[in-house]
Parts: sequence; structure tokens; C-alpha cells
Amino acid sequence: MNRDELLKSLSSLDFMAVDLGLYLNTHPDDCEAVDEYNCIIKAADKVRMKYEEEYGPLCSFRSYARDGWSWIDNPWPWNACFNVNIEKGAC
Amino acid sequence: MEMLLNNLSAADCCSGKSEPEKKSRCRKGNLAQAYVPMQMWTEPMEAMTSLACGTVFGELVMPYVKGSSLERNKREVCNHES
Amino acid sequence: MWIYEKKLEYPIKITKPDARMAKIIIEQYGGGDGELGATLRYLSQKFSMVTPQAKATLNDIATEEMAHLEMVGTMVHQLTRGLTEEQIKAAGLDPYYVAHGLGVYPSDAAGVPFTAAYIQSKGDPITDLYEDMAADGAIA
Repeated sequence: MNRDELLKSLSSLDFMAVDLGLYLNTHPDDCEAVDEYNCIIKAADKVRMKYEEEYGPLCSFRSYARDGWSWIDNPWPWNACFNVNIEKGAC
Repeated sequence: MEMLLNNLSAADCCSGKSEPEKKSRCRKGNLAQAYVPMQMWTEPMEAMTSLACGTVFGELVMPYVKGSSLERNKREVCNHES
Repeated sequence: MWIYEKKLEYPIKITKPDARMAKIIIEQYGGGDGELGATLRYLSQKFSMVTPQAKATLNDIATEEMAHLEMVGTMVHQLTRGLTEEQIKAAGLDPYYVAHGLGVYPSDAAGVPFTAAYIQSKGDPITDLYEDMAADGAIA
């Protein structure tokens, strides 16, 4: 997968994990939801690893620094060129 | 906030004429208190759809409809003006 | 504590600057019903929650609101890239510009700076949760 595909995939998997976590906060005994959450984060971890290997650290105190301290490198997330396009009408 | 045991609103519950099944599931609400229905688990949508919709749960998709507030405010309820 | 991940929660790629839109969107940054207010509201109220469910919910929603804050700030930033003097004046963004340039400053669409008066934290879990429902449903 190229950078755009990796970032899209990671963003969507992480979003699912966050939303499922919020559901679980009020439904902690929902085992089906826990299973779904664990499945999602496993998939997200794989994508995260691939992204970081190729495009640099995503975290400044957890990610391995492969390429010097590339953490500071441009672009940052608020720069337009950092981001991918999401198709209109995807919802 | 007390959660009701299922998606019934306080108004549906315990009206006195409810069926035995409904009565056992529902819980009488106290006066002058707001209640939030308990969300039930539904199968999450696929990852990209979830991200695009802003939620993993289909029933929580509530897109903003441009102009909906203006539409609602346009409707006047007074009948005697016609 | 918090972990920052170097990506937006949802990608934002604005290629066409728009001063008028920036003026409107900033309401969601530093306005009364904006993400900064939401973040601080939940972050402050979480300490008074009693049940584990409520503590977790407020803590984690506050965290997500921070991610939203970053996105709205990003929008304002991208909408103001390369604006000309004419574009700024035409959109009525010049009062903001004289005070903040093209920087992002927590204020509402009318230029009123953010204040904690937009939120409430009463130390009572049920009262606080009512406030949360009122605040979050404000644009329903």
C-alpha cells in the first residue's frame, strides 16, 4: 500500500477503535463489542507498523526513531499536503 | 442519569395498560428527570464508511442537513392567520 | 495523560482559501458551543464523576474533542493560506487580522475571545451530565 492508502486505512481503523471504545465505556459487559474492538486494534497495529516503517513515527515517545529524529519533519497534520482525499458521498 | 433498560422512552413504559412482557423490562421513571435510552449493540459499519459518516453505528448517522433549521423555523403554527 | 498521534482524526485538505468561511468556521474553535469549550467542559467535569462508566466516558470524550479542536484549527489555518488584503477586507476578517494576523486564535465568529464562562462544572455528576446533553445537543 502507498502512503495515501496506509493513512486512509489507519485513520479509519483507529476511528473505529475510538468509537467502539466509547460504546464500551457505557456497555463494558458487551462481549461481542469487546471482540470487535480487539479485532480492530489488531488490524490497526499492523497498518500502523507498516506506515511508521515507511513514513516515519506517529508518536514522539512511543514510536521507534528509524531515521534520526524524523518526528519533527514536515509536513505536519495541519498542512494540507499531509492529508488524503476522501471520496465525496462516502457516507 | 439513570439509564432505562432498553430503548423504550419513559413515555412508553408503565402506562398501567402495558403488557406483562413490557412491564417486566421497563422501569418506571422518576418525575422531573431526563432519561437517555440505552443503546443496543448493532453490527458496526465497515471502516471507511464509519470514518466518512463519523460513527461506526448506522443508527447514529445524523448528518447535518443544510437549511433544516431555517425550514423548521419557517413553519408557523398559528392557524387563525390564514 | 495524553498521547498525540501525528495524524488528524479525519483528513482535511482545503485547497481553496476562503476568508469568509474561516470567519464562520472559527466559531467551532473558540465559540460557546465549540470544541475548546467541549474539551474543557468534559475535562473539568470528569473529576466529579462517580461511576467508572461516567469517568471513562467523560475522559475519553474530552480526548476526542481535543482531536476535533485540532481539526477545526486546521480548517481555519488552511482556509487562510495566501489570502490577499482585498480578500481579507471583503470578508470582514480585517478586525481579526489586525489582532491576530493569519494566526489561529480561540475566538468565535464575532471575534469574542474564548471564556470558561461558556462551560459549567458544578461538582454534581447529574447536574454536569445535564449540562453536557444541553451543550452537545446545541446544534441538533
